[in-house]
Order: sequence, then C-alpha cells, then structure tokens
Amino acid sequence: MVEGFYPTQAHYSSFVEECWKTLNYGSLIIEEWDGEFTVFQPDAGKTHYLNEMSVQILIYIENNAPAALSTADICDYLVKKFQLQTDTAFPKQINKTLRRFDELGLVKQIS
Amino acid sequence: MSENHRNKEIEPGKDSLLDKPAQARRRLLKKSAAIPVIMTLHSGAALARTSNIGTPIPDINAAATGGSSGDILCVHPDSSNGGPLGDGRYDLGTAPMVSGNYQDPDNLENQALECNTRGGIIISATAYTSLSGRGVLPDSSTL
Repeated sequence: MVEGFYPTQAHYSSFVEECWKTLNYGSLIIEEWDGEFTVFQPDAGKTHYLNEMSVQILIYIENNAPAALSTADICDYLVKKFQLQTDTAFPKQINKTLRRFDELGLVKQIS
Repeated sequence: MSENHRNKEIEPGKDSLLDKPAQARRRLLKKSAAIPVIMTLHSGAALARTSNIGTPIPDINAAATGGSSGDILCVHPDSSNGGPLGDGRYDLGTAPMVSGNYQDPDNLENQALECNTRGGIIISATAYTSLSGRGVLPDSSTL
C-alpha cells in the first residue's frame, strides 16, 4: 500500500487491510459493451452488469493471484488507474463493493 | 467482444422506441465511473413464469362474443408447476392442457359446467391467445 494515501488510515484499518482473492474467475464470461460489461457467472447461473471500475477490481485481483490483495491495495490501484481525487469515503465504497462481490461468489475474503 | 455485438444495428424506427429515461439511466451509469457499480440482472425465465397467470371467467355470457365454442377455453393448469394462487387467479404453469369436445358445444353455460366437472377452469380464448402469442404458453391449437 502507498504510504500516506489515506490521511485517516487508522480510522479504516478495520477493513482496508482485509484481503481478497478472486473465486472461479476463469469460469466467468465477460463481454464488453462500449465501456460497460456483462459478466455471466456459470456457477450461479447469474448475469451481472458491471461498470469499468468494478471490472478493473476483479481483473486487478486476478492478475495478482495467487497473492491476495488488500482493500487498500485495490484502492491505490483504482485511484491511479482512474486518476481520482483522494477521498476518505472511497475505501468504504470499494470495501462495500468487495463485500458484494463476496456475497455473489466472485471473490472471497482471505483471513 | 465480437464486432457483431459492438456494431449491432438497431432497426429503423426502433431507436425511437427506446424511452428517454432508459437512455438517461445509461448515461448516468456510464458517467459514474468514479464509483464501482454492480447490478445482478433478473432472470428472464423467472419473469416469464410470473406472467403466466390467468383469471377464470366469472360470467360466461360476458366472455361470449359470438356464441361459438371458440370464445372460451377449458384449461387445465399444469399440475407440476401451476394451480390456484389463492386470490382468484391461476398460474397456468408451463404446459397447461386445453380440453374440448363438449357434449353440448352450442351452449356456453353447459360447457362451463362440464369444464368444472372435468376439473378445469374457463378462460377466454382471447386471454389464452394473448399469453400463447408471447410464447408463454403452448398454442391452444396444438394442445
């Protein structure tokens, strides 16, 4: 994680250090539709709509496999990738997304 | 992604059918790149099942527009996945059967009684056709 990125990191230490890995990423069928993505998940028989940032989260985690990535690592990557302004609410949003991915079986949390 | 998907043509006239709120929603989603978005799409099959619902005719005469036996149908809901919903409506299921050959083909009231005796429900042929025409139910002519 990039030091100093989160000025109030201590407040988020409960979740920014949680680590994640993809789950059956290879089975996903991902189609791009002009910057938007549909992801078919054969295991669950579900189709998801993801925007660019959500897909980048999955791809980034997968590209770093077998190592797990922390929420903070993912936030750092996204801030650089999308040239975002640093925002203390951003890690919360990313964590929420990761938890949603976890519920759907797209990623799993590594304790 | 294939070029077929990327360059999928919209038939002339259909573009105008896309409602403006939907277009605005798409623009909003595309502009919301600063936050991750994930939405799980509903299964089309599940939606199709819920729309396979018919209401029995309470008044035979009201459904009889021409007096012929073709105006009403005696439908037996698919027992494996259909049946009464408890509110007067019936889920016809995926493979309902339609029975005919009434003993009194010219009398709607007698047809209704016979249908009830057989354990079926009476729905208008128009209502059934509206469902089967959308591919929800088998065509009554093939049953």
